[in-house]
Amino acid sequence: MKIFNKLAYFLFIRYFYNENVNSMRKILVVFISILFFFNSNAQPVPAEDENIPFLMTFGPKAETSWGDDDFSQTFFFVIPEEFTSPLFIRVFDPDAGGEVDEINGIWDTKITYSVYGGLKCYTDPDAQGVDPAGNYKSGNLLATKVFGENPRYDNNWFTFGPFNPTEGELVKKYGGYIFKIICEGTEGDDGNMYRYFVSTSGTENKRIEGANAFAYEYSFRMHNDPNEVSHIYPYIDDRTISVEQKNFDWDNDGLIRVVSVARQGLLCKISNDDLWEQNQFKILDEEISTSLDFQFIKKKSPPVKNNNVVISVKNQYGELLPFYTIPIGGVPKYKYSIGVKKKE
Amino acid sequence: MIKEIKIVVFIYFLLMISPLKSQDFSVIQMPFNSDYYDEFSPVYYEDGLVFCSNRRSSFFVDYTNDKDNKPTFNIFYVEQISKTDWGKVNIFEKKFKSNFNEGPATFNDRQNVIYFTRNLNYKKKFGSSIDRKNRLGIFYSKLTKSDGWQDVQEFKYNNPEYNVAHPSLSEDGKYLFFSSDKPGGFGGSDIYFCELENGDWGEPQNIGNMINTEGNEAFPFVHSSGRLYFSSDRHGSIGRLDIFYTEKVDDEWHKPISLETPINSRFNDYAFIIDPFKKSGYFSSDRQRNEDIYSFVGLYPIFENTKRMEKNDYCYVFYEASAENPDVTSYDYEWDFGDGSKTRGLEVDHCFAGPGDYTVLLNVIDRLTGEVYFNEATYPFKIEDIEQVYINCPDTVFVGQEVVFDGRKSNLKKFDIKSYSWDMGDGRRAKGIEVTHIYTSPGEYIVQLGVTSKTDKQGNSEKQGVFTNIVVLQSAKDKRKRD
Repeated sequence: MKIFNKLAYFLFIRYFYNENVNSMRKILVVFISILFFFNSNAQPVPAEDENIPFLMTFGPKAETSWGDDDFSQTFFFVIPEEFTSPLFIRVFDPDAGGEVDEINGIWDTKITYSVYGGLKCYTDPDAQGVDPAGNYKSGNLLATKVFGENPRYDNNWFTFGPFNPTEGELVKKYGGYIFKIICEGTEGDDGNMYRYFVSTSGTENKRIEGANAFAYEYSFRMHNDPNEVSHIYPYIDDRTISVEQKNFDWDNDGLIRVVSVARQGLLCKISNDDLWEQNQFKILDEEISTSLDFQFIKKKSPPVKNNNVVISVKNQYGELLPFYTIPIGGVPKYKYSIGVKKKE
Repeated sequence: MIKEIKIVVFIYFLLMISPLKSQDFSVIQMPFNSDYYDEFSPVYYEDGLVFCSNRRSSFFVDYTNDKDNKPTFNIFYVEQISKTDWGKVNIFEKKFKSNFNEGPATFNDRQNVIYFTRNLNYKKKFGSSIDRKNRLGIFYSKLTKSDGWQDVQEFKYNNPEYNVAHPSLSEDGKYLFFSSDKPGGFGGSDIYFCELENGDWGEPQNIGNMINTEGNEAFPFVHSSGRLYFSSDRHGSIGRLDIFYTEKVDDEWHKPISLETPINSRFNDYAFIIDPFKKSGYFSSDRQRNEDIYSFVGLYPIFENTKRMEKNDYCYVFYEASAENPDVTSYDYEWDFGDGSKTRGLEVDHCFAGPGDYTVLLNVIDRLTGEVYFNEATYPFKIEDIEQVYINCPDTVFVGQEVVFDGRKSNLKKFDIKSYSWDMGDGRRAKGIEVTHIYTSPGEYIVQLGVTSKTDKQGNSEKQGVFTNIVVLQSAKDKRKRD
């Protein structure tokens, strides 16, 4: 089934791009792309292709120079409409303490995870912002839990659920029910490193076919190994003419390079400690309805360790572009071609 | 010394056994030659030949030459009736007949103007016909439809102090070549030409010392291709006058090339003409004691309109074609050319060894991450030789060096090559896919290779040919010897 879906996707895309693409077709391509996207089959957050070690949220008393600009991170999970079994949202290393997390003095941080569903949990405009402001906690609170230092969950999984898929907000554009999970630092100043997994099981990670996840702002921990390259994949819809990337507290740790099907490599501005940096660039025609690959390439020396960063991408209207954990159309790859000419 | 003699003998031996010595012309004595009298200097006219002869032309009186008691020379015409049959020989035009000699002639392209040689004092009634004081000059006449040939006019550069003779008009009528022993030449008789300027002939110009020598150069014939044939008793003549040709290369006359035997012989061979296709023609020779006209047919295939050979070049520039502005800081390219060689660079040059099918691969090295992405792009690349006849030979050789000329790299589609014919540019020819040749004089030669296809069902075959230049240098040893 998976193979069929992929094949059908590519045949479909090719059909449309072999013709003169008009706007209606573009819309259809986007819609079908999204449908196929949600037919993908992976829900770890961060996903394998992103190669991001951990999501990151600090306690509210931490200095922003530690890397977290707002001590809050929102993720959305999409469960296909046809999926009717119970689902679980699992959190790896949810506590703030122990081996994985980042201590600041003593472990005194409380981290709150809240799962939301129901009407407006996604569609409320405040839910789709980068800042924890306004009605960002929209929808029905389905579950919440506060973690401090807790060795039981250090390097271990905590499970929310079971949830009935219909407890999410049905959003037809995505072809499924959307759940929202907000991780907030509510006390202290330590750094919490964690991961998510949407599972069919409460005790182990079992993927839900067709489910996926996305966010509008990514707060994450960079690898310590300078040879590791992390990625995020913002999706470029047909309304996008140009984008602006904005990053925080990069500590000048290497480079941010954008690669796409038509872009060999565009270097972006990166921020220094506790600072924001941004730059804009135009979107190429071939990049419409594909994902961009933002590559985070660490500098080799001197190595920067425990670097926590934040990044978001907006279009020319100031609308945030979603980072899909599984990039639509697969990981974008620049298409090289060889040119030959006679030597003069 | 003995060693040097051995080398010379060896070279001579090579030349003797070389296929270049093969005879490429068949020569026939013309049936209208008389047994006793002389005939020479034919020119094409209408359906036959105009030539000069001292045969008897009048039943009653004929002025004779004091030396051999033969009549003086007059201009005659003979019509060709069939491929082998010729008509009766007649005086070409009575108006042109005098008591003295009328000789070699030439016509313009429309054949309504004749230039011919005759003694300057042709109106004299008495005196010796071989009187050295009665020099030769050029005269001309025009043909009108109503009145036939008009009164003969004298060429303005005739001079009673020296001879001006053997005219030959270029096809466009703009140049008149002739021979003269006028003072200021290079010795003996030289070849001169005049250029038509505003309807009048310009001052005679010596054709230069590439052609003219201290010996005698005479009987020029300028072919429609611009090639100039002439006779000389120098330029390595194998005996008395021999026939040579030359062509203008970059506005300079090329070193004269001797025609092969049996056209040239150890006797006087001269007054050569050849048809526009350079396939057959006529010349004069005293090889049978009398001066006679001979015809020849080239047995060697003629290759007209040969093209300058283009060098096969297998060098190309490879580049990444997708990126408008390649990211030179982030990436390096490694090119695998499929012939065992690899090169790094954003844009690289590569020369392949020869034609063939190659698969060029592009590996991309990410300088920032250090990762290598193999086979990011592939390019199936077919290299073919230029579709042409191909001469594989060195550009520069030395005198005495044995040079191999190879036609194997000829690349002609739908052309089944049956034979390879070489013209080495020094008057020698050869046949075969590969031939060897030794140049005996320094200079720049034009080497031509023509190929003939196998005959099709209708018996037709095709020809194609190319030419290229080869520079022959004097060997250092010879140079030292000469110095």
